[in-house]
This record gives sequence, structure tokens and C-alpha cells, in this order.
Amino acid sequence: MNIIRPLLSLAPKPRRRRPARRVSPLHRRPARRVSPLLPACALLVCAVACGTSSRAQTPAPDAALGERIYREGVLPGGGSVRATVQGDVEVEGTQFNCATCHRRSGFGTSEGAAFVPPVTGSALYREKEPRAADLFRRLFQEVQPKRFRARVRDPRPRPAYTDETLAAALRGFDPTGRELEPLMPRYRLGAQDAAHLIAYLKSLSDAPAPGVSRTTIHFATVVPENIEPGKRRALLDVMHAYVRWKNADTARLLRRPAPTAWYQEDVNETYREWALHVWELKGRAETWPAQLDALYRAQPVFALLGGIGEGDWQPVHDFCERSEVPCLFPQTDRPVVSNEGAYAVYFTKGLTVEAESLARHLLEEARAGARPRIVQVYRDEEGGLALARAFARAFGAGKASDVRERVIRGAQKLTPGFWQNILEGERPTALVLWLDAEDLRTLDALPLAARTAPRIYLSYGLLQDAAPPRSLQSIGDQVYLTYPYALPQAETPHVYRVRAWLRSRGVKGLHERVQLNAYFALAVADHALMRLAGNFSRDYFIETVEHETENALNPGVFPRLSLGPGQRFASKGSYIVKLSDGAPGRLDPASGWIIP
Amino acid sequence: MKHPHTSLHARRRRTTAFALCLLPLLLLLPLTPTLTDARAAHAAEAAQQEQPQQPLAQPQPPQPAQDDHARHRPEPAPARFVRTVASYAPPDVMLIDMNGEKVALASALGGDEPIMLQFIFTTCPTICPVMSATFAAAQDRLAAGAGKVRMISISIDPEQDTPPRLREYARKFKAGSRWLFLTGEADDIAAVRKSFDAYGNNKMRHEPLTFLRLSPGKPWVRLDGLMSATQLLAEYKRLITE
Repeated sequence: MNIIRPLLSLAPKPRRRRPARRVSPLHRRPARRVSPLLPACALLVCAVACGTSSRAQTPAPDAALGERIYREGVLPGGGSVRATVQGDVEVEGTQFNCATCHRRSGFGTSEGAAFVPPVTGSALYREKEPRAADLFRRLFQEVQPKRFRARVRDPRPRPAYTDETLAAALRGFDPTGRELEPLMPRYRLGAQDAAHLIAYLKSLSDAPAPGVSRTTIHFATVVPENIEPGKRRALLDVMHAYVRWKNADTARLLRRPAPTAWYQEDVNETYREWALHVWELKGRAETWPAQLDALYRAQPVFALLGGIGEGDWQPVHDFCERSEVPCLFPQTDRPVVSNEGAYAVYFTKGLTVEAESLARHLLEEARAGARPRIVQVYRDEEGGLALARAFARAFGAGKASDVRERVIRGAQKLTPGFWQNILEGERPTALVLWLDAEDLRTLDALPLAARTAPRIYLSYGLLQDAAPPRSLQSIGDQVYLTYPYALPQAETPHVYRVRAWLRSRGVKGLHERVQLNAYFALAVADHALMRLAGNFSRDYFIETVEHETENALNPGVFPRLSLGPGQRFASKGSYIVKLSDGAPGRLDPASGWIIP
Repeated sequence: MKHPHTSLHARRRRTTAFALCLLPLLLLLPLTPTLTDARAAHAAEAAQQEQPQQPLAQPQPPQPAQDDHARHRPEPAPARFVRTVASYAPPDVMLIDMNGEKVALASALGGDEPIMLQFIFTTCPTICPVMSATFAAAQDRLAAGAGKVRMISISIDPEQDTPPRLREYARKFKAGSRWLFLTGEADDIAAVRKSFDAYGNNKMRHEPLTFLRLSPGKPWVRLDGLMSATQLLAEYKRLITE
């Protein structure tokens, strides 16, 4: 079962570190003759300093205040940090701050030829020594400009920072006295504010991430018990196949006779065996937080990968944010749509993006023509409520028209009279039905005619793959679906590669969208972990996920998948498609890809 | 275990051999440039390999900021960028400005006034905030003078950078009425980037490019790299006086 652990123990041990490099004699100050008066002067200065400090009581550096300076660019007094960048460009902390470039993790980033070094406490308070694994990933993980490669190969040695030299770095000088690049802002911080910031930097990303040992990295995937068995199997088959393949590949890399290359010893240290745990949640969603906490206590994991849900994902989302556990790409129509939070990333806003895209589509039509009369009908249950609220909010923001609402409460049955009342009483030009297939079948009792019926809009997220009712099929030209996926006829070559990968690992085709999404989640996590190069920080992991999502092979469930710093939804839009023209494997788009 | 004396002798032999190997190099040292010069030359060479068409620009050192203590500080090293001149044919596409209005790119680039153009995205971690801050500084200095330049920032992350997000970004950098922010359909933006030879498959890896053009029909000046506001304004002055 465990094929990697013995190999890891046989892997070459880390190289003995070279002794600390001394500061170049060029930077060493010449020895001076000590004046006999100096000890007396020193005593006098100490006495004055002690007297002053006892009166003024300088407060101790506060890492929490430093965190605010680092992440928000806000000083303890509430003012904005000010700095000069590129020699003469004045900037404020609200425009950008330490975390913008060095990132929340402190591990830095790169963009074009610009390389931003790490500023974690352990990196700063240690003599800078190039680490082969880091260098290897920076040079070869993806294609980089030549100037970037020249920059990261330049070792720029320096001794460990001290509090004093770190304060000087905020003004633009490293411990050797060498000036930092003009891209590094020269901060105008008072001594006390600099001390707060330095106190925060010392603690930045210094705790080992839970769920990672010397040999193993633990992941979990969340699968509630109400998931259709076919989808559950589709998800877990792919995930287990990927983990088996990944571990076999790591074992193969470790079996290579050492030393194979200059970087190999350091890179071998970064490998871990993947252990995947399936967290099955039982019962009502209100009980999930306690279940998740208990599962996490029993086996801490580095991240949650994939997962699938049919209801509200809020309890899982809250667990991720509360426990600071990255949660990558669960398959849910009900993600938490919020600007807050740092650890949960999703494929799409799900039902919310469907409703917002439809609102945008109808608003644009309204601008071009007559004022529409829109009625939205929904049940006061999870999915319907989410759609209706998002639609009303997005439509209200446009202020083009009112939206009338008919809410179906509790166990209320829909009768022909209910529909007649809407059609004749409201005379809508657009009927937005946030209903599932069962409710929609009650329309079959109506004599809907193509010439008199309003345009009808349905949610693909609520209908899923259920067939629309006969009555709507008969007026298909006037019935539309929101569709937040790539059109089925727009298959990319990538999907064939992923299908071949799955087939060759014995994964049977089943709920292909679930399988392709699961593959994508694991592939992004895999690439992001490689880029970490053994620096197992969860914040750094999320930051690399933000980068790698656009690099990864998009198997084509969504037209485009990309993230960026702070972005939490990789696919941003939805189509509106016609129900008609039901040629097999095709959907006729009634709009372009709408970004609400 | 090795005898300590044996290992000491071995170390001495290795040191002597190493010193003998270094001797020719030491003799040649006075003939070679300094390490700093070599690094600078290496960086310049790498930069030129990226843009081999034109020689490296000679950017002026930045003017010190209004700071009473500036004269006590060492002179900052001038930022490096590469200046080239090129003709580009932007596509005839319809983009969307920060107010949500459709704008033909040809119209945005039209008019007789000089144009400064950058590609940015609002969640960019490293170079875009600096590029935009440089535009903001140049905007302020030009507003004080007689400059009539128009500035355009085109998002390379159009699906994320909706008009409201562009407005928020514009507010953050105190953009004035002569600074336009554009987004659009992903394919159209890709076509615009390709036309300026500024396309990459991952926005997180994009280059700091600034383009200047005197008027329609004139060539574009391409500045590849980050720069100070003084350097940008010097390039602008050179554009309008040459």
C-alpha cells in the first residue's frame, strides 16, 4: 500500500549547509582606534536613554498592528502608509501595500521579469542561500522571460537581516548596503510603525501547516450522503485514480539513481505521498460543522480537494475559512458568493451567475426596446430563493423595470388556475420560472400557444438533465435556459486528452462533467504543490492555485477557467440557450457568453 | 572513520590545487570589467535579446522627489527599460469603458492628441499597480503643464474586470477625465494584445509595457520595463519634440 514512505526514507539526506557567509570585506568598516573617552560617553548615553525610556514608555512592537500595515497599508493611527516607488512615484497603502506584491503568505511572487522575493521571518532572518528546489521551479515550472531567468539566477548574497537592517530595507537598502530594486517601495514609516511591521514579518508563515509530515500530505474530499450514487462514484473513481497515479509517479522519481542532477537532492525533499480521505457528511446541514470539525481533529488535512454537493455549501465554506484550510473547486451550484474569505475557490458562482447573467441579458434587451413586464416564479426553498434574490438584485441594479414575483410556499401545488392567474393577470412579456422539472410539468395542463405565450426562462442548474415538460417543448422557440457551461458542440482537444487519461487508468465514463471537474481540481492542486517546492504554507498554496488555474489543462466543461489574486470563481459567466433545435449534442445559444 | 590528519592534508592539497587553478584568472582580473558591470551588462544583454530591434534606451536618472532630505540620500539607480519603435495595426473591435459604454477601439485611439497606453488588470499583484501609479504621477505633472496626452489602460483580464471594478480601480489611482479604462470580450482583448505584440497565455506572467503614440498614422514607441514618472515624461517629451 505505502510504496513511497520507504523510498522517502532512502532518499538522499539534505546536503549539509555551508557555513555562514561572511560579509564582504568591501562592506566591512575599517577598524578605528577607540577613544579612551568612549566608555564614559557610552555610559552617559545609556543613562540618558534609560531615563528617557522610563518616562516615555515606548510600547512594545505589536504584530497585529504590523499585520494591518502589511495587508492593508493602514497605519495604527488609521492613516495610509506612504512610499515612493520607481524613484519618484508617490503611492499610498490603499493603492498597494506589502501584501500586494509579497502576498499574504510572504513567499513573494513574480510577474513578467519582476521577481518579488520572500519576506517570511525564516527567509529574512537567515543568510540568503539559494535553494535548488526553489530555483528549479522558478526557472522551469513555466516559460519565463529571459530577464526573469537572469534575475533569479543572480544569487545576490546577503547575511541574515537584523531588526535594524530590516528597518533599513524598508527604506531601500539590504544588509550589505546594496540598494534594493526601484520596484521595492521606499516606505516612510516611523520607528514604532516599522517595529510593528517587523514584529509581524517575524511571525509570517512560520508555523508548519497541519496535514503535512516528512513523508505524507493529507487531503480530504467532502461528499454528503444525499449525493446520487452515480455522481459519487464518478467523483471518487477519478480522485482515487489520480492519487494512485501521482504516488506511483513520485515513487518512480525517487527510485532514480542519485545524484541525477544539480537540483535533484533538494527537489527530492519536496515530494510527499498523497493520502486522500473521503469525508462523508451525514444528516442535516446544520450538523455538518460539528462533523467537519471532528473529522479534521481526527486527521488534519492540508486542503480539501474537489468534493460535491447538491445543497447549500455554506457549512463547508465556513469550515474552510474558520480552519484556514484551502478548499479547491468543489462541485456545487450553491457556493458562498462573498468578497470575504481567503481559502475557498470555486468553479463558478453556480445559480447566482445564472440569475445575474439572465438579468443582464434582459436589461440589455430592455435598453434596446420596450419596457418588459417580467414575472419571476419560485419556491421559497434553497435553490429558488438563491436564484430569485440574485435576479432581483441584479435587475434592480439596472433600474430598467420592476420585477413582479410569485412565491410558492411550502407544499403548495401548482394548478392551472395558478398559471392562468399569472398569464392573464400580469400579462408578462417574460416569465422567469426558477422551478424544477416536477413543478414545470404542471404547465402541461395549459394550452400554451407559440403566438400568445410570453418568453419563458428556466434555470439549467435547477433542471439539471431532466427533460422539460411537453408543453414547453411545443413552444420551444420561446423557451430559454441559462447555461453556465461551455456549449456541448464546442469540445476542445483537451477533453480528448483527459478522456484518454481516464480510460487508460480504468475509469469508466460516467457523469462526465463530474469526472472532468474532479480531474481539473486535482491537476491544479498538483501543479500548485510542485510550485511550492516544499514550502508547505496554505496561503502560499492558494496563491499558487490562483496562478496555476490559468496554466492548467481546461478539459472544457467551462469555456475559460482563470483566477487571480483574490479571485474566487474561475468561470465568470453563463450562456442563454434556446430549448428548441434539439439536435443531439447541440445547444443553440441565444446570447454570447454573458459576464454579469 | 578517516584520520583527522589525513583529511587535513587532503584539504590542504585541494586548497593548493584550487589556488593554482585560480591564478590565471587572477592575472586576467584587471582586464575584465567589475562584477557589477558584468551583471549590468548581463541584464542589458538579456533585455536586448528580448527586443533585438532597437538599441537600449539611455533613460535619464529620475528627478528626486520633493523631499527635504533627498540630497542626503544616495542617488537611486535608474530604472531600466527598453525603447523600441514599431508600427502596430490594432483590430477593429468594440470594447467597453469603465462606465459600461461601448467604445470602438479605433475611436479610443483616434483624435489628434498623443496617447499613452498600458495593459493592466485590477487584481494584478506586482507590476500593474506600479504602472498605474506611474500613469497617475505623470497625469498630475502633465495636468500642471500644457500636456494634452490621453491615457488608456486596457484590462487583460476582461472577464474579471467588469466596468464597476474598473471604476473602483480608476478611483484608487485618482484617474482624471483624460484617463480611459477599457475592458471587453475575451477574444477581442486577446486580439488587441496580439496586435501590440503583448499577448501571453497567462495574465499572471505579463510584461510591463507602455506604448506612446503622437497621433494616428505615426509609429508607436514601445517602452518595455518599469520606469519612473520622470522617465515616462522624458519619453513623452521626446515623442512630441522629435
